[in-house]
Amino acid sequence: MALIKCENVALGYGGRVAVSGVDLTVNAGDYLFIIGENGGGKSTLVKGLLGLVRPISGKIEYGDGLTRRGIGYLPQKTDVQRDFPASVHEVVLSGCAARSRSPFYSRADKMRAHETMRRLGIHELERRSYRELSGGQQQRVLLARALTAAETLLLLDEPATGLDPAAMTELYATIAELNRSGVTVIMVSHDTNALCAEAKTVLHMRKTPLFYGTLDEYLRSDVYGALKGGINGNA
Amino acid sequence: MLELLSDPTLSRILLRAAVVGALVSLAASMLGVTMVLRRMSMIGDGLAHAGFGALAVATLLGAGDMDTEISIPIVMAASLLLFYISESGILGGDAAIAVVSTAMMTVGVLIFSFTTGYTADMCSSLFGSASILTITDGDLYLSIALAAVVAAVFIIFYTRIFAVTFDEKFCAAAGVRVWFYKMITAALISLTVVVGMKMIGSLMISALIVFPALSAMRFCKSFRSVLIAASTISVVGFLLGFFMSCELSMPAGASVVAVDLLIYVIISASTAIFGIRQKLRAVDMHMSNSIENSDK
Repeated sequence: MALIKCENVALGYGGRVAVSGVDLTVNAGDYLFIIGENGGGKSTLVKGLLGLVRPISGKIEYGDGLTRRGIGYLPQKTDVQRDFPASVHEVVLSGCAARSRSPFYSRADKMRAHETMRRLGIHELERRSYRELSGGQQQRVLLARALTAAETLLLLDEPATGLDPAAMTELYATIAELNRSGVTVIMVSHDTNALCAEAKTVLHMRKTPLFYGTLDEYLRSDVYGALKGGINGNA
Repeated sequence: MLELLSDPTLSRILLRAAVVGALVSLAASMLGVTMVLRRMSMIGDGLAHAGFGALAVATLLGAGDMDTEISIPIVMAASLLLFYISESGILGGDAAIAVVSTAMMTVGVLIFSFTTGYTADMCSSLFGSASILTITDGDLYLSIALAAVVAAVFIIFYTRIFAVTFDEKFCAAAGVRVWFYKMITAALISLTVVVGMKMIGSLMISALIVFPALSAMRFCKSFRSVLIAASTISVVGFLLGFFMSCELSMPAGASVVAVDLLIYVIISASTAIFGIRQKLRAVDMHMSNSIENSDK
């Protein structure tokens, strides 16, 4: 059984269809890269996978012990976070906020947060304030929070936005490393440079899937050629 | 002041007003931290204006001493309406606030002009009571209940309040009932505004929500420390302003806000100076390091 299986899924708001015809299978250990231009329905698909938007038709199934609440989500950066006075420790630990009904974090939650910070090499920043960190460090902290929330599957929405090339390469390397250690990854981006991020499968969206297959096939496909050549890249 | 305190009746009135104000300040500052961080400071201001209209309705109904109790449900309704409008995107967030707050202000002014006229009643709801005699035992019990509820909410829901304030999208995906925490904040903010309005005035009550949070954010590095610092600054600022107003016969509202403003300016200036000194020191270190290196 796959972790996520989409069958002919259509999604939209208020009766307007934004995405349709999505067939998708995500198995444990996969690294799926969802690429597409802005307005191509990537964000809607993300909301659908997270269960925040119900499919108009078709179905999204979760299996292998995964529930839609069990997805570690890294949303796009918000304006609110830019100068937010929070310690790295507080942010990473907040990944546990939805895990239990208890008002306080348990010892196990704290251990989990520590372990994740160590895994991503940010435990030395633990007492630092989130707003003082570099863009790359901030993304690493949010990645740690997602991983604290759920360790089977990560859903990353444009994780490299606003990072300089060095920090971007480093972040992609970390994500690939996580994937090698068994974490299933779905990454969403409009950036073709991110293709070097060691993804295994690619889904190219423009309202409907234009391409769905392995990375090698994608790099040889017409869809990719057209995107690179810019012939109908801005449609 | 000392003569005031020597009279048992007067000192009881004074003490009652001080306790009400300190508790309202405490509640306002804690809620203020989440409001300021979520870029919703103007909502506090909008609600305060709505409170003015609500108080006018209460006066129209001839509530007398029960005016606070009558305005609470009206302001709560207005606050839920404001949150709904700004969330649903029917109007832009800031436009929604402008519409609701000016509409309620207008209702208030019209009601006052048809009933009591432009009197002390209206003036005190706008700028805060000139006399602390208007603070009743009912206000005292309300403020105790308010502070207790706000403190309890922050203790019980602390982890989720932090998570929701920091990142709504993440929380929604993880299954936290984001709307529930927003509604709680909206309801408590409106309670705070109504209870505090009498003393501070509806035009200035949002200063109690915004200033302590801003001051604390200047120098605190974690969410927990911001909450603690903001509530301390708020209560201390209130007591200073309140006793200053008694001593110098100034209106309590304006005095308290003036002290809060002063605290903010002092903290901003000192953190700025501290920041510059740290930077200079870092440059110094760098220079001396490079000199040492070139010596080698």
